[in-house]
Amino acid sequence: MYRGYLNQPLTAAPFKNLQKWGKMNITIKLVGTFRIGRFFETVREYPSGTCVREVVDELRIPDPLLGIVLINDIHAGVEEILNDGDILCLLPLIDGG
Amino acid sequence: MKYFTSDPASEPSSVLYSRCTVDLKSGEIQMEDVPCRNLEDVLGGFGRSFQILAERSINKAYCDENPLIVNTGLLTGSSAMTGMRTYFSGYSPIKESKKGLPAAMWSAGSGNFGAKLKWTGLDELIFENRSQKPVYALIRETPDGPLVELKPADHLLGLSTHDKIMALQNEYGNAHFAAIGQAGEQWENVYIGAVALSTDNQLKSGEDKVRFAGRGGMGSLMGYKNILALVAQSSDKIKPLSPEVRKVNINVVKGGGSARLQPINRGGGGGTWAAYDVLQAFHAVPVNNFRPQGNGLPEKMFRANVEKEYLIKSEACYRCGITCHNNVYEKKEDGRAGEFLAKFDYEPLNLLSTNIGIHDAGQAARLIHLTDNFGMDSISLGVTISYVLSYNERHPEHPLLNGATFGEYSKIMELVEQTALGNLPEIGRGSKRLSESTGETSYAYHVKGLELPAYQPETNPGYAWAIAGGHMSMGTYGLLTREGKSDMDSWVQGITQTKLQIVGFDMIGLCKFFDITKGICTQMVVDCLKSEFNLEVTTEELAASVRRAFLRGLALELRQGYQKEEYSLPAEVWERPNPNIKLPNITSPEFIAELQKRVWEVFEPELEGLLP
Repeated sequence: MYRGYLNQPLTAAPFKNLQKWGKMNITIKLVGTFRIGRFFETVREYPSGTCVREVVDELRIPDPLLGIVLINDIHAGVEEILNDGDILCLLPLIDGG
Repeated sequence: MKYFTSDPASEPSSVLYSRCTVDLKSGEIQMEDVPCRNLEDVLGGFGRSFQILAERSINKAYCDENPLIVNTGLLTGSSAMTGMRTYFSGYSPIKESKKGLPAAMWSAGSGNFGAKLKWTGLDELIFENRSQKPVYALIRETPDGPLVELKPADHLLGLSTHDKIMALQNEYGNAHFAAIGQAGEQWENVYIGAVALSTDNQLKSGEDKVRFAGRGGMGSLMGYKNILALVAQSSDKIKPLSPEVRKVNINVVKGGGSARLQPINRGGGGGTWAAYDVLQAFHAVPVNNFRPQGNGLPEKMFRANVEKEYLIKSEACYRCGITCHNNVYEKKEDGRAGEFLAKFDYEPLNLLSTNIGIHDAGQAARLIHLTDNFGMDSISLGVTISYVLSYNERHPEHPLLNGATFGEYSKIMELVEQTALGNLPEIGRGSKRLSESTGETSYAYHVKGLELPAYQPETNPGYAWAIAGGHMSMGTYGLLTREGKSDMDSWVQGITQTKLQIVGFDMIGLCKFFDITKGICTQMVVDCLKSEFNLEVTTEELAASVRRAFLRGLALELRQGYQKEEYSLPAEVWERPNPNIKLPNITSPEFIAELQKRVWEVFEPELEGLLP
């Protein structure tokens, strides 16, 4: 089983109605610390109408760490609905230095 | 500070701060309690020091009339987390207008010196004139109040920042220290000297884990005045945590504000170093003098790659739960920590590695370590060196200095050493002067004479209105990259309203990581002021005070001869647009011209009457 952030098992529970709704393939790219215990890049299947927030929650990325959301290289919000074939990139916050 | 009111915004003169003025020429020392003029004076830091600087007409940084002001903020030394800041202010040797006049600058640093200084009973120390012989200042707590003395410092001459501090520690217990390195001593040829501030970790471990007030050459001004170090000796006077401040501190540690800076093993983002990974996703990590190449070279400095060879420990400033320091150690065969190499923060790391063509973490660590020990601003040094390397790449037939080009570690190391020792004024006086002497100014990455930090100018036209450090005095560096804003209205709003508020941290004594996204105009700060000092201040009053202080800084720049066309970016940005940066282009000449027009339309009417 895929094991996610903090080594906790991830389930597909939020998407159990996948068959009922249409499916779509989303390429997910993770950057920086988000890769730890997860992946660099993968393609996953989601029900039509899935928004970024649901993917973020599924991946157990903590809200305070999520800095940037890109859909097909364009900045987006977490409430944005994904479309089949989208490339979703999730990046941590940057600040200072 | 003495408080005879609980309403400092309405009755600032009922708050007094303790000031010591030291005449380095005569040795005369004067102590006084000074009534505050406004809320900026009460908050402290540059909010106060810039009002003092504004009262003086200064034509060159190295003159008797240019003071060095050392002060703290209202919450320095309080029980509020991160309240450890010390500020050094004066007319800068490095930052100057094209007219040739020095700009007022401040530089801030953590470490324990600021709290100790505050606990001696002193809020501000002003050094006037210049000492004929090297001295250090001893500030100590006595039953009769703070006492300041000047002591001979010949034994400290030629020592590094760390060695000066360790030497003084042998003489003074229960003290903390601020010191310049060899670079500051060579003030005539090095305008980028930094001031090192001691930490508990440093004094206990003997390792050079120092904090710096780096920007603007305040260490060089200190060197000009012949002050090699400051010693603050006092008992610790931290108040017991009140329930209100405890709640704030928990929020600082566990709330959203600092999460990205916490160690990875605590579920945090791993500190400022993490910016490498994020910016690389846009090919916006500075490479070879701010020319990202659209390749994977910057990834060699990703933490995940450095960790394969080196041990990284997350450590913190005293009493701070943010633990943002990433200290890099040699890794022994058994996996334990070996020799301490350097602290990796995004700016020094990038500007002394990827941006000068160095892609080896060990070499980068040695350059950072050397720069820290000599006491130089790693930003100004790194950017001026990258200019030299870029020039030499363009002119292989007649290169500058030792002919170093990108990635030539040994030659770059030689440049760092010789600059610090005062033998390379070409680098020590910064990229503005050097590029003007070569006649090739377009790829000198400074704005208004101060070198840019490690955020590509293509991502931040707000640099033009930063009044001190490029990213730390104008918080627009994430407006395009992080927030995705590329429209004119968002940039005008950001520069003229929301993002200038970042300078509030450099008044009140808190580190920006207290809550960098929201600034100091928050209920958290209001609660701390009420609990610590029984002061009733609203978030609106704080915001207005921070804005006045920022605008005063802007007015002071104009008074020092800056023309509006100097509020711009290095010309290479639009002369050779970089196709590798995967972000919308917001630095075309047309965009910049419109931005300048609209920003000044907001700022200009408000500048009236801010200066004496």
